[in-house]
Amino acid sequence: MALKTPEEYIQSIADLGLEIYIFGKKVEDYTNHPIIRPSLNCLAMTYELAAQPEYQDLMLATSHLTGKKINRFAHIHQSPEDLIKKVQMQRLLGQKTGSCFQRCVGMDALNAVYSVTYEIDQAKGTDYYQRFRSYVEYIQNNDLTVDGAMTDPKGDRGLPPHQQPDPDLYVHIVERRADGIVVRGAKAHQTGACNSHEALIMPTVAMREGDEDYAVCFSTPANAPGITYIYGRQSCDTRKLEGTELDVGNKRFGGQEALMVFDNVFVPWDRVYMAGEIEFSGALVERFAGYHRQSYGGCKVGVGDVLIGAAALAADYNGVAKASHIKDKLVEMNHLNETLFSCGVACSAMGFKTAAGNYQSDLLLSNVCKQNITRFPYEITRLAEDIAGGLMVTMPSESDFTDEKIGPIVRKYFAGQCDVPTMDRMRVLRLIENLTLGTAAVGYRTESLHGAGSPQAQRVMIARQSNLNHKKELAKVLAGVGKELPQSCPGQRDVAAVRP
Amino acid sequence: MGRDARDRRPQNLEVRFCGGCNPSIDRIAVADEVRSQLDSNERAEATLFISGCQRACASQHQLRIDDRAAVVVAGEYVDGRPAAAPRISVTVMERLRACRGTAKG
Repeated sequence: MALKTPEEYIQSIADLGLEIYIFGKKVEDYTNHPIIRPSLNCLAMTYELAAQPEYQDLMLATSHLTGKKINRFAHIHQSPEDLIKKVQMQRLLGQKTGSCFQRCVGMDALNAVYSVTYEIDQAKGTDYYQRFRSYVEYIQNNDLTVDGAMTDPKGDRGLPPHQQPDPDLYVHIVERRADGIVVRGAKAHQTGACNSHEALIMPTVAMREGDEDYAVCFSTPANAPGITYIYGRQSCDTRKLEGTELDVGNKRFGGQEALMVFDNVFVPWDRVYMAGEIEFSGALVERFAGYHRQSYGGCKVGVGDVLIGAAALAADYNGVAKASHIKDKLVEMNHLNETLFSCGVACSAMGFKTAAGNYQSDLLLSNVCKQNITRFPYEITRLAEDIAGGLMVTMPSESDFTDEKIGPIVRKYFAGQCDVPTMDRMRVLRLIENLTLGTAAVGYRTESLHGAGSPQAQRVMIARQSNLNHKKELAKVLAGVGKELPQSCPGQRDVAAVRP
Repeated sequence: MGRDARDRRPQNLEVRFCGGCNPSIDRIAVADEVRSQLDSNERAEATLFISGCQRACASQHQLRIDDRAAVVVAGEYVDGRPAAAPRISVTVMERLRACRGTAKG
């Protein structure tokens, strides 16, 4: 099958007949729901750009399994250059959508499961890797979107999965049958879950003895019987129900998160890639997290590009573009944003080949990348709000600007630089609002903090991956630690001589 | 062991190191431990590639080399399989012995 067009992609998601609930009600025509549709448009952009020659160097890759051209989101990375192109592609999509475009999580899951299944087979004599290769080929050949699902609700964080009072707080196997397994539980915060054809489920923590039923990795069609999606709210989301253009800031695009519930879902054995191998769950979490923390060095940078551009436009429209402090703030925003990109490129360039043959981003640098992501977008948004001015949160609604009586008044009093239409100024301020505290802030701010793991998760990994003893030895050598000072030390004599 | 002492030792093992920019393991200690486990008149028949991390620069980014007598250490991996730091030299010895007679496990 050839690559899907955006229209084919959207129709294929509509055809799934997913069971999606929003505001307590089941949504029938979910691809046209005003809150959901912008997120679907974002994902459709991953198909649209793949069809455009000017973006194909980043958007397409050659499958190592079939030799065919495929969307890079379905690619298994074959070199550090592939890892770099992944980050560049993510920056591009962030620029084109100003939102979370949701397809990264599946790409990262495909690559993590690919290498870990190989290693399980090497150690245990299982055949997970071959099953998974077949699955990857299926995804590539049909140009499908995969939701990589890791985060369980987790309940009492002080207890391991098998000791939770409610066993469903981590996805687990409830029945092993001759033809497959039956699973229960839920995955929370699932980015793009309702816009995906498939879900690839992974354990969320390193499992220990007693957790065998929770060490489970499998794939499932998104519309398998027993799967329900409960749509997550975003700040200012109901503005999308008002049918206006100005007030939403970014009319066409947006992100999506959902709670994905598994109520006794059957999974045939050929779609099971881990079932009880507790000692490999930690490696899978670590590798997926490594890839996903690398991803943020691309996608958030692209959104940052949009926000920096919007802040610069706001300065132009406010008539303050030549002020030295404004120029300096824009330089600082760019400096921070490019630092994040540098981290994404660095962890890619230093990526390593796994035993399975695909490439993994450097884990220390991936975590450093994400740790910076937990901070810099907050400073970039602060500077954007500083440049934009308070009007971005006090301006009237679109209805006021289009009202016969009020419209001329608000257009008069909210005019900025004389040759810029008032409405252009308002549009840019609403986009900044959208990115800094509206629906897109879910992706650009809080997701930057907690997505792909909260800040402390990266610090644990940085502590584990940094060789502190090596650094101590470096310091000891230069400081001469352990050496006796010479008996006659001229320097000491000189100091003693000048003391009163 | 200091540099001079290492240079005076019988070279019973060919070791190729990465450049050691940011090692997650003590590469030199691994080499020393492996050498010390070889019998005094024993010479390893394989080359030992030791990289400080999984980037595996010493072995040109290969975690495992199948077409020649070689053992690859890349951070906490030996021939592509995980090996915690304290177990690296023991695992290397197992692999070196498996390399004898060109048989690689």
